[in-house]
Amino acid sequence: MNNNPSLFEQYTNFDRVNWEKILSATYETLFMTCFATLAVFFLGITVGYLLYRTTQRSHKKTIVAQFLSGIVNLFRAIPFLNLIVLLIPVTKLLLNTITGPAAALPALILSATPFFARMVETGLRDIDRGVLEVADAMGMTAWQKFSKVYFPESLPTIVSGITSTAIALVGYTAMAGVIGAGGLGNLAYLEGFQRNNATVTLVATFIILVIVFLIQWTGDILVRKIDKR
Amino acid sequence: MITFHDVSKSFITNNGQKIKAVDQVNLTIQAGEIFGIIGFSGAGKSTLLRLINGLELPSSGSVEVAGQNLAQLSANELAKARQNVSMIFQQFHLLWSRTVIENVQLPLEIIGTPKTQSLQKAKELIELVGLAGLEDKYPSELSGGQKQRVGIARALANDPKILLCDEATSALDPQTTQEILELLININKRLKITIVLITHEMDVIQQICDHVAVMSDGRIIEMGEVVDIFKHPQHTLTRQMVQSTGIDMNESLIDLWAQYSNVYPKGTLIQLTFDEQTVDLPIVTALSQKYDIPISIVYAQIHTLKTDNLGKMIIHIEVEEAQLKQLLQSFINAGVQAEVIDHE
Ligand SMILES: Nc1ncnc2c1ncn2[C@@H]1O[C@H](COP(=O)(O)OP(=O)(O)OP(=O)(O)O)[C@@H](O)[C@H]1O
Ligand SMILES: [Mg+2]
Repeated sequence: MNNNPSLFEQYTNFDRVNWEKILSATYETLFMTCFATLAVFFLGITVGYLLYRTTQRSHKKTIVAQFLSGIVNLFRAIPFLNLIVLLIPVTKLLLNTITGPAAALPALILSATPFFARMVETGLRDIDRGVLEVADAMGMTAWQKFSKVYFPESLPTIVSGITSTAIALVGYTAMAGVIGAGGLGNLAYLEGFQRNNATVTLVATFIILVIVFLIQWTGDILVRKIDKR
Repeated sequence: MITFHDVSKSFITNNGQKIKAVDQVNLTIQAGEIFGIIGFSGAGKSTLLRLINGLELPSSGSVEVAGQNLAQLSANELAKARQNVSMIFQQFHLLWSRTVIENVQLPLEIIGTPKTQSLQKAKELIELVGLAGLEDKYPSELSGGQKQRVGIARALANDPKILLCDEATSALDPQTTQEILELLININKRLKITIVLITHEMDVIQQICDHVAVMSDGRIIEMGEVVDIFKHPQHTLTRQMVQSTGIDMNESLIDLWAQYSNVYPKGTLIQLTFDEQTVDLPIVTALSQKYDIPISIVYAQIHTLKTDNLGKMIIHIEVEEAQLKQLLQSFINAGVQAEVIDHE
């Protein structure tokens, strides 16, 4: 045995890679990302819509608007690592555990929702005001206006927003490793850092990159397909 | 169909000032007519239009549409009343996310028309506005004129009684403007829809309107039949607008007269005004032969309004006083307005 492996050898020592662990870590990362993205999608659209509606010209800047805006800014300002630790008691109360992929979800969702909600709000603001006047003149109800005008007319912004959000979430899942949430980041930390296994870190990083590129690629294609402007 | 009683509408601007966008307006728009509102930017035209579909409610006075006072309706009744009133815009305001046919179907979705029925109706309307074959295109693939046609088809989808047009042709080139105006006249005749259109172009008024109101600073400063306004504009602003169309009925003719009095230092210049009945009759020739006097035509022009053709002619003659009187009388008997504008 060589006691002093070269740099190249450190990164290509595939014998020490436990592929089963890699697979399950990949699965955990995907689970956290997908679930959180889905939740952030619905929550973010709701919050973004509320942010937009409450600050429209026709409304006065109401207390609701200021409250909402304040909360959103607050959660956007808290660093993810702090948030996840801060939320440990809440997570315990909600899920009865503080480890495993599910335990990371509250923090993931809470930190990404404000980020995405702001993008939704921007998308809504960009809608042609005349089109909204048409909607009013046709006598649309609030729900019809949302489903037939607001949502479809801001969809490209929403899709590119959720793409960026999902990519950010992949990064957050890696950080969630600190509370033992599992996933590729966690694996890289446990195996790669603590047991000095650079190859695992490399593989984990590679898989994370593939996931990120896949998300970006899908998002770009979707936006191109739906944007008929 | 539409009646305004002392209607005023004020806005408070962002810096707290009060603006009277519409000021003490009284007007009546008959069912089935095309009513034009003309005025410069900021005159309050769009606000007036929005008062008709209840997007704005009057600060004072009352607006009655199809027998209903909009301010007294509940939210539900107002939504229903709005189904009678459609609107088209300068910038078309189509949903870019929908195809042509989906845009036309939008108002039908709102009132819950069954799919097959709404598809049928939308197809008919697309045919009517001359866009057959473009059903599945997206607005971004259409020209301005085509987009406005989609706007019109969409506006007609829920069988409105009234069509409001906010500068509907202002973003279009002259050729396309003509086509859209013809389409509007066609719709007005075939579907018996009352059209209220606002514009800053007198040409548009001239071509398709029955009545016109001239707006300035929120007030209506002049109103009446288009022909009358063109013949006898009262207000300076109106006169300017009439002149801008090249239909120089009054003031600008003075320049012409001055010019021709030099060319014809002797004799008499007479201005003749023909109307719909007399414009295409050979009256001048007939009288020239009858009295056996040479009549030279100095200037002649015919203008086509929607309801009328207006003819203006300046003739020159050299005759005795008695014969001049006789000739003038003959013109008047033939239904032509005759006016001596320069004598010896
Ligand atoms: N919602 C509003 N809030 C405040 N002021 C308004 C509002 N709507 C219109 N105004 C003001 O009322 C006046 C008349 O506006 P309006 O849009 O009716 O004019 P317009 O004749 O349609 O002009 P344009 O030809 O430019 O469209 C303007 O001074 C405008 O700034
Ligand atoms: Mg306007």
